[in-house]
Amino acid sequence: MTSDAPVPEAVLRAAIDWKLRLDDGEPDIVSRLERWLAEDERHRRAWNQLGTIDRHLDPVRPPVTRQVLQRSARKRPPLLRSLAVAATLIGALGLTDRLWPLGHWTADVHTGRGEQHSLRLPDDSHLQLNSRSAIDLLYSDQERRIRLREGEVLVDTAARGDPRPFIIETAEGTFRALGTRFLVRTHAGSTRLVVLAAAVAASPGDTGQTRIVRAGEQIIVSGNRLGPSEPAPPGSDAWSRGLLVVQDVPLGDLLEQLDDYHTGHLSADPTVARLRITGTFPLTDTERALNALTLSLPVQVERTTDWWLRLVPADR
Amino acid sequence: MTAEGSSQRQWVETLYRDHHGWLLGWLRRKQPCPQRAEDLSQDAFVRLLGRERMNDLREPRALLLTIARGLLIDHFRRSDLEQAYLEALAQVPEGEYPSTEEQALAIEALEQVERLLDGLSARARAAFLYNRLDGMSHAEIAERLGVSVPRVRQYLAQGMRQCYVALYGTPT
Repeated sequence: MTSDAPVPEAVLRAAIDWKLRLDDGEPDIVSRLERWLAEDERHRRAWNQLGTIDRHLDPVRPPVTRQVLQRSARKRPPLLRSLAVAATLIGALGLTDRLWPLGHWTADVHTGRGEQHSLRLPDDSHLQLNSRSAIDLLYSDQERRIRLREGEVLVDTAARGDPRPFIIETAEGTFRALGTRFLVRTHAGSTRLVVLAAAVAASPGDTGQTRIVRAGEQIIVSGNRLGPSEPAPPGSDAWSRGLLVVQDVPLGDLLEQLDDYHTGHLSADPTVARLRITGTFPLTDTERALNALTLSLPVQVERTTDWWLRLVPADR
Repeated sequence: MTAEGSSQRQWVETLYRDHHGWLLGWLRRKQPCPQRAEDLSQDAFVRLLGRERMNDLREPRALLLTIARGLLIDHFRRSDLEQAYLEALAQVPEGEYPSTEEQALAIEALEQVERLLDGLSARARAAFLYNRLDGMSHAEIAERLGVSVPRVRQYLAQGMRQCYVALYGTPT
């Protein structure tokens, strides 16, 4: 039986269910999935076949084609009220909503793929949103609270004292600035805090527990638990200067981060995705970043079009 | 050419002689451009060439109409896509404007994906694209579409099944 033959209905349903659970970030799913895949050749076949769907969507990933495909979805106005509220807030803050319409419509401020957005707050604090991030501004008389719904934000709190506490909130916890510069990233059920100057008080969920994290340290918060304080990886805030600094990471991971800033699609052949790399790369100049990679690793760029690039093993 | 190929051709030629004028008239009523109608009617007969010969075809016009309708839908879908693509392009900065060839490739790619998703409800389609292209989570999609998370999962499952069937055939 070839690997292209359709699988039984029940197997397809089960495979789709696994995809959805994995996609939903269900904890500890991978080992159970591995077992299911090993049970029967058809399980793995269905899984691999489903995996090819994304490849068929690759050619339409660039923003323009994506916008065309989603035109019918956008004609309908969902959540009109929230949109109106967001528009008012954005207007009040003097922001222009030039953002490409993806994700986070209901957030006060959001960035699309490959976009960054700088924002000066009423108290003179400064926020910078990384790619695909969304925040709500919840300033009140008692506190300056910002909810980070998704993505990453770099905070520079105002030097001059405002008596109200400055707090970043994520699904996993709250982070109170103690006069400072820090980064918060939330993704797939965990939040990472990196303190760049002074200190931040971190509290997971509603446990009432608090830990002071100092400059040069990071912690990860997930499932109501504070991880250990660790030395912050170098270059954590490099993205705010248009750079990506990585230390001994798989090539696949690096490309995933660069892909966020690349108009189009960037991927690595599985045979080279695990090569490890250390270096500093320009975020917004994919060509230069890839050139640098081809100099330091045995890889070359395979070009379908200018926006669809793939790293493959170099010819001998 | 084999004997069979040759008789196939004769069969289509007979059909063409007897029904071409009629089909062209029908296509002209359906869409205004005369040149386009002529192209579409030619395409319909070319499709017939690729079909198994049906000797006892009692209703050749019914078959021709079925083929022509399919072609017409493809044609409208393509013009609709082209139109939407050009509108979207209008927002692209001048320096990043794609070449004519890239535009043709993009429209081609769009058509393929449209065919892949054909048959999904508007919401299932939107949910699927938000998830696969924008990487939105189930909860984000639920919020965006104003539906429950289990419903989003259902939409995504429909989307994956739809693509699966289009690519690999109906499950056994």
